[in-house]
Amino acid sequence: MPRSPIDLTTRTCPNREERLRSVKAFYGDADELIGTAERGLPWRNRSFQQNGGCVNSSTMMRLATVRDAVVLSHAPIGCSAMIYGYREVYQAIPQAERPVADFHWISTNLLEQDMVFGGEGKLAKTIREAESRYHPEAIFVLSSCASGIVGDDLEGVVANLQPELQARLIPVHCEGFRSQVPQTGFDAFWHGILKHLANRPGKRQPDLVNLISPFSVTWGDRRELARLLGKLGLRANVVPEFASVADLRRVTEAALTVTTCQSFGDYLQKALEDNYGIPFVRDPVPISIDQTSDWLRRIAALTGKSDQVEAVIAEEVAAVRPHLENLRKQLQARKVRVFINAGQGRALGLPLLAQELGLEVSGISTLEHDELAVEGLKKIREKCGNFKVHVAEFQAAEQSAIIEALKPDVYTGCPMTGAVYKREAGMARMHSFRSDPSPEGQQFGFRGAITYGHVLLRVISNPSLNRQLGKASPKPYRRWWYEKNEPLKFVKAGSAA
Amino acid sequence: MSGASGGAVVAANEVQDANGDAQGPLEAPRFTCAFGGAYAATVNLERAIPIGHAGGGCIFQQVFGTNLAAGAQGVGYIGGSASPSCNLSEKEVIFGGAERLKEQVEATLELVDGDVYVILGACIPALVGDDVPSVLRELRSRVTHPILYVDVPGFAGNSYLGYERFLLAAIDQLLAPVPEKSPRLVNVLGVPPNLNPYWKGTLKVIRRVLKRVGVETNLVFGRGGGLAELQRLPAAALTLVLSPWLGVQTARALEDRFQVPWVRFPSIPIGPAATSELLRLVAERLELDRELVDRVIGEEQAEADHLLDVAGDTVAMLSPSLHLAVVADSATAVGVTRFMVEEAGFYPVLVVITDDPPEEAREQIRDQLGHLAYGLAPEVRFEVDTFRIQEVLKDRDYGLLLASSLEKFLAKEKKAFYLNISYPAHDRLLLDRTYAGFGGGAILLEDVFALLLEPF
Repeated sequence: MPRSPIDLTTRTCPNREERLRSVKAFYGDADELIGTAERGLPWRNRSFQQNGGCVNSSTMMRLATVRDAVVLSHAPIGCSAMIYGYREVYQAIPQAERPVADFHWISTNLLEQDMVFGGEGKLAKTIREAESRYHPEAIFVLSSCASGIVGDDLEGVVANLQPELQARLIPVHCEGFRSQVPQTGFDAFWHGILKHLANRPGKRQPDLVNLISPFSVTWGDRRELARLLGKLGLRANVVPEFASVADLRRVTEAALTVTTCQSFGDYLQKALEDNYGIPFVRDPVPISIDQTSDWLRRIAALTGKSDQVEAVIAEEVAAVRPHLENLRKQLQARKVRVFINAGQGRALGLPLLAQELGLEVSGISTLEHDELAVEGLKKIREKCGNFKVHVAEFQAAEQSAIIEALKPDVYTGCPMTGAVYKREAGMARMHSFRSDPSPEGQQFGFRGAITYGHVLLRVISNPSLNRQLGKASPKPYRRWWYEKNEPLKFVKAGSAA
Repeated sequence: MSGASGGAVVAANEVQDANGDAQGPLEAPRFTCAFGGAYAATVNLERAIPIGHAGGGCIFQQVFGTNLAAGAQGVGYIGGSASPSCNLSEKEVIFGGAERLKEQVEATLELVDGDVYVILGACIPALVGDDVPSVLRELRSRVTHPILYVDVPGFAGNSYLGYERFLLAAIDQLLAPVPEKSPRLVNVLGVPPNLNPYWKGTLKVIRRVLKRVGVETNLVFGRGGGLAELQRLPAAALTLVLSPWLGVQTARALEDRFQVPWVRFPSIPIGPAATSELLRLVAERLELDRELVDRVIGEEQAEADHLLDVAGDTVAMLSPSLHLAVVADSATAVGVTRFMVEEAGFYPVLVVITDDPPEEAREQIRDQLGHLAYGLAPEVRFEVDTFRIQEVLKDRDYGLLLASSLEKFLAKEKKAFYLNISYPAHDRLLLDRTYAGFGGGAILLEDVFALLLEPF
């Protein structure tokens, strides 16, 4: 299906409901979901919902680690509550590799009177304050529900102030309510970066590869992937996590754009291709030995490195194969069934790693479904057989019911879906991602696969914590919920998005 | 960029006055919005079910903020992304969210097992003017479950306000006069869930110590509290506010509505001196048996004295009157400073108060910290903004910094020892930890000396 090119002259990106026809409510066999690839699925709402983030929260954390910049939250103070760890996250990077800079955020701290008189004056004041405190290269100005509803003119304030400031101002339209697909926030900040910050390239750097990596991909992963690209004679430009403003500026000069997550990278990849002719690799993401090898092959093909790539892969695979065999032998003997809850990149990547490690995939729960996921789903289907797919922005109750029915041996999931993991099945549990820079958090590339396998084996070897929690913790949902086994009971009939 | 070295000077006429204006732009204040405070109260009221009449991110933000930043709190019964929420979007912004709220409350009642259902109204419904009271009237005419509505748009103020609004809403909507007061029952207010990351252990210690003199406590929040304790607030003989200011509004409302007198103890009581004072205050107000109270204080004091005696050699050798800086909310800051200075020998340099207390409370705090024993008087600053807090800290000298995890790495630069005592506490798992009570000072010394002890 031909797509319309990304238009960077508009104020902001379109919402994903329209651009990708993303949906947020599905449960069934992978085969069924793959079967809908052509016609798509109708949007469905839920009468019962649990919180799972918004466009603003999807944006905030991803930009909060940009160095020599300030993330400015034009909002009440609560809209920046999730980034109280910003100083510690930065300081936790290994000393020898730590970039010289610090992270900063500031909130306009919108209050009652600003709702009455508008917050534009306070926004201008806060922008000046951000510049005078930190002299940043860039200031990301994030809108919110409150600033959007009272009608503050973000673009106007920014345009008025820009001439008197050293910092580049980047308005990001991420009102929480603007889209029911929080991932629209990814597109909103990429749009802002390309429109207001990126270089208009005269030159192309043929060895520069944009590597799109969100906050949830660890420092170790980043190091591993940059190392692999380095072996092909390519330089990784890792954005936006821990990127400098200069790194963000030069995205338009790269030879290629690759990503650790289809959903997270989509808008930047397409926008760079449509507006600057830079090709991209969407699938696969470099999780699992097999997919990392494929990932390198595709990159090599687009950067003129095909003659070198097989030697690099052979060397890397030879180094990890004994470890993989060892893990596989031990895990296979235990006949482990795994359930994976993660964002798109990991939800589509980890099943293949699980398969390589000798695990059976009982199901995945992923945040959204759209055309970006189809190739990945097909690949998993081919390698792992049929499996269950749940599409939901977490929706912990639905996951509880699904896990109660599937009874996996291990749940690998996001850190905040509490009531899911410890209650129902008494299974082992581990992270599907960590954001901290410790080596144990790694998953990507060849080395990450082995690290993840070791942690998995460890967790499966002693499920006592979650067994105990499963026995002792009260269940929050009424009994019928666990007996009925109808996870989509509160999902309403299809409607237009 | 020169963030760390340049940029330090804020023009005098710009943005903030010298004493922590909380109305202007803010970097990482030690609280979140009103919604966040009320949410923290709700998920820490046993078997209370939060329902966010809010965008999808309002509670999600708090998962990392008021949960993880408050000593790595897990999501518990129905917190984190399990908390029900209307996830309001553009449609509700344009057409109103009342229908969506009704639908969500009905579905939540059907699915989630709780004792009380708490609707938390965020920015969107307040700005688009949802008629929540009429939704409530309609729901309450049909369902038997208690439903509480708390109007806490983020722009209304900080999370201390949210804590207080939660309690005031409960007084309005859930509490009724009781036929008879319990003469030995005391309400404890002013120790907010998560905003004081040590709240659980602290409330438990207060319960234990008052029990020793025959007094029962309504703590409301935490295990064993819940709706029953909330509804028992009117039955108390006294409300005890453990803060120079937080909880006072609620205490006044309980007095007006249910004739429960109240008294303020202006800090978390840390160590034997403060805890004895607290006991005597309660004993006087409730006319407790003086002999019993004296005996309990005597026993507890002797135990604390013994522990201090054991620590004495080490404290005197390794940190003789070490210079101390404190960054915390007012109740914690006053309590910690008093113990460390008046009983453990530390030399107070600076106290930064981060919870934006009202003016009359500031006077009292200044007065209290300005008249410590032996004529010691630290500089007292009221600052809510992390940038400003760190500018002050960079400019002073101290060997021990008792503060929040935002200060952790600054302490390293200053070559000072750092221990978390206040929000945010991203660097500790806090389950039952507290420095409150007769024995709390000793635990504080244990934690401090775990940082700096070596053979000597």
